[in-house]
Amino acid sequence: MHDNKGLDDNLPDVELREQRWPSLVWLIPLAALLIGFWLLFQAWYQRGPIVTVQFSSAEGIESGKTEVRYKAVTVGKVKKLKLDNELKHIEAVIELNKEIGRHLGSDASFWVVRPRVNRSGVSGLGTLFSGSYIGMDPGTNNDDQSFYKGAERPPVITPAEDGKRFFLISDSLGSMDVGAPVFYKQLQVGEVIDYELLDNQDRVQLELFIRAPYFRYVHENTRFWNASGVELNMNSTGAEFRMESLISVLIGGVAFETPAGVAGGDVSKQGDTFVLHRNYADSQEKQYATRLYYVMYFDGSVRGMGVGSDVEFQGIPIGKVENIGMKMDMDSLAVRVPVLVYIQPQYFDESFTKETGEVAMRQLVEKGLRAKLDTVSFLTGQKVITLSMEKDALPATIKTTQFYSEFPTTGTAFEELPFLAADIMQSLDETLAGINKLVNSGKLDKTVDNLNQVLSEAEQAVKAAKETLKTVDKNTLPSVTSDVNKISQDLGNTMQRIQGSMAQIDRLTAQNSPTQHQLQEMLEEVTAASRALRSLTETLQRQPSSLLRGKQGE
Amino acid sequence: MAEHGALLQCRVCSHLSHPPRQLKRFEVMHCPRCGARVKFAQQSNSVEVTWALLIAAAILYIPANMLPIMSVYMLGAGQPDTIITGVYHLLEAGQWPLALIVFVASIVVPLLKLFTLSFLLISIQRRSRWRQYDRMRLYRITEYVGRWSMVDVFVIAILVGLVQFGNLARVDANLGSLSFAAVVVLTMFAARTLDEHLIWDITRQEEQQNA
Repeated sequence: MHDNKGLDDNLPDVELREQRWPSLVWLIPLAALLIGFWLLFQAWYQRGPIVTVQFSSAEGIESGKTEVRYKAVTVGKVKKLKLDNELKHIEAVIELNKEIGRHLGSDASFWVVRPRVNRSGVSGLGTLFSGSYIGMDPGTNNDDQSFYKGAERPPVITPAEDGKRFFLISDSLGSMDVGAPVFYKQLQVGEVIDYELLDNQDRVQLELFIRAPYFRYVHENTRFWNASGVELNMNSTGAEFRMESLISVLIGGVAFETPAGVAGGDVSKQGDTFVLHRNYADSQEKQYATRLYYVMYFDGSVRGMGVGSDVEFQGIPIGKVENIGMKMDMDSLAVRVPVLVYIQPQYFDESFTKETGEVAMRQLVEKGLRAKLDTVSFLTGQKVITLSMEKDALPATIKTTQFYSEFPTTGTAFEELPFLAADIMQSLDETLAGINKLVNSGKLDKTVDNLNQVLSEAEQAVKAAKETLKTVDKNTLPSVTSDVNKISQDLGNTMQRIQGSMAQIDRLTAQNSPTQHQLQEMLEEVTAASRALRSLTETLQRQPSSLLRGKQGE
Repeated sequence: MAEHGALLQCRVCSHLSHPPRQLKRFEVMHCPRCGARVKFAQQSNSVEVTWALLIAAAILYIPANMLPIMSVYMLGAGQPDTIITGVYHLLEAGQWPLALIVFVASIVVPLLKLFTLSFLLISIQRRSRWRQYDRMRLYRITEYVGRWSMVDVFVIAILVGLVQFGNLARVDANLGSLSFAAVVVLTMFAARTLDEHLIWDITRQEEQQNA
């Protein structure tokens, strides 16, 4: 094969090297293989869990289209829609992505976001254009599960918002709704997020969410009250107007506060339960647990008093009227009005228990504590029950009966004023009658007659004396002397009789005579009455309003 | 091109050298001057390279069809589409001519290319003499048409570049489009590296032997 011709001989042989490896071009399919595997692995690895969520209706949900969003980030998609076996619900098969799948808990929640207009605002407007989507909250734990029940409405608070939940127990829901604001010092700090009727307690439980950092103002002794609408109170202390905010007027709301003078206690824990008071005034009352119930019977009308009227001790409300009833004794046909009140003895001493409080009340009653009706305002005729120590009360005790103990009462305080006036009038009458009697009896007349007689006799005597003196010159002295003797004798008699008359008058007007006594009494009464009147006018001058609002504490 | 028995010329430095008497397995020739690889004409590795590229393309064809290639978001709503779901959506929207174009350009053509090239390679390796002229034409058509699959990739690229209006409308490219682009490029290279004269190689060798 070798043609060795000249030049060729100088040419070298080609260099031979061993190459056992296949061509480098095979790196390309190798790389493709790796990339392909990596992509598929990624796709597989990124696949999140597939969950089934039950909704009551598929309205707005489309399979293959409807997204699942968490904080507006798409985290999954509805793959399939199907009806459940009983045709009651629809089930959406949702494929979630990996990240959210990692945080998915058994308490995760799903809801459909549609455009929604309610009292507290408009939400989900964006879905008008983009179509409904399914909102979700991955929950707090990591117990993955594959079946969930979808909620009908979105939660009021956005998921993962920082705050605490509390519960309120209320007699009724009132104007409260989900989304109603919660105020603290008229600042909106949270919302009502749920409510339910408690099964066996005939009460409503509201669930509140209070945002960080405001939840630290919720203490164990914090009071919550219904801040819905406008609160207008007219009572003995005047009119009070309270309104939390315009929003709360329109859609209701809850406000809370820790009353001043009450130890706040520890900051409340999540899930604590509180009582929802009817209104602000209610919430501010001291919450003494011990209540002593008494029934009181009053003479006369209880008009102006109602359930909730105060029971006061020296102007301090220490209890309330619970109930006003009516009771008829079939035998005597006497109608009595039992007023059931409760008294919180802890106002007297915080250490009182029910038992020691009861003992103390008994002791106070023995010392003269009585209940009476007291009008606090002439204008409204509002009445309260006042407990006061009567100076010379008839002895009485708290009568224990089958139901409530009976508390002794006494006349109403304001009805005393007419009584007082009547007393004065009566004594005035008596005095005048006495004077009349004196005048009419003729005793005075007689005395005056006597005096007149005496005086006329004296006059005659003096006349006679004058005449006698005239005749002194003409007649003889001895006859004069006898005359003078006679006159002086007469005068002596007259004086004697004057003295007698005077003695009679004296007797009538003597220190201890009944007339004297009656007059003195009358004057005292009049003085007292005028003093009372003066103080009344002074009070009215100083505080004309007291005519309407009652006497203010000094 | 150096012939067996004649001199070999290096393609890089034009140095001439004697070929070896016998070339053992795993032995390759290198230029004694510059060290570049020297090959016999019939020793071309065109088939090997084409196979490599073709296999790579075939591998990437799987993720290209399984992964989404593009996401179109209109007013906040939208989702990533694979080629097949894209075609399906077009059909759903009643755009069947468009759907047909996308289907042909994105699924049929790459698939046909993969099969044609494999068929050509196998026939070359088996030294087939069957319808050589038609096979050559098939190769030419394949090579010419193949590049048009790149239109898809360009469309995605242009859309991603143009349609970025935030929430109003937005087009995102997904990993599938990269795989798809890789498939198109690799098949184009495969078609390029396949020497069409190899189809005629067997005929040529016979002619040489006869001569």
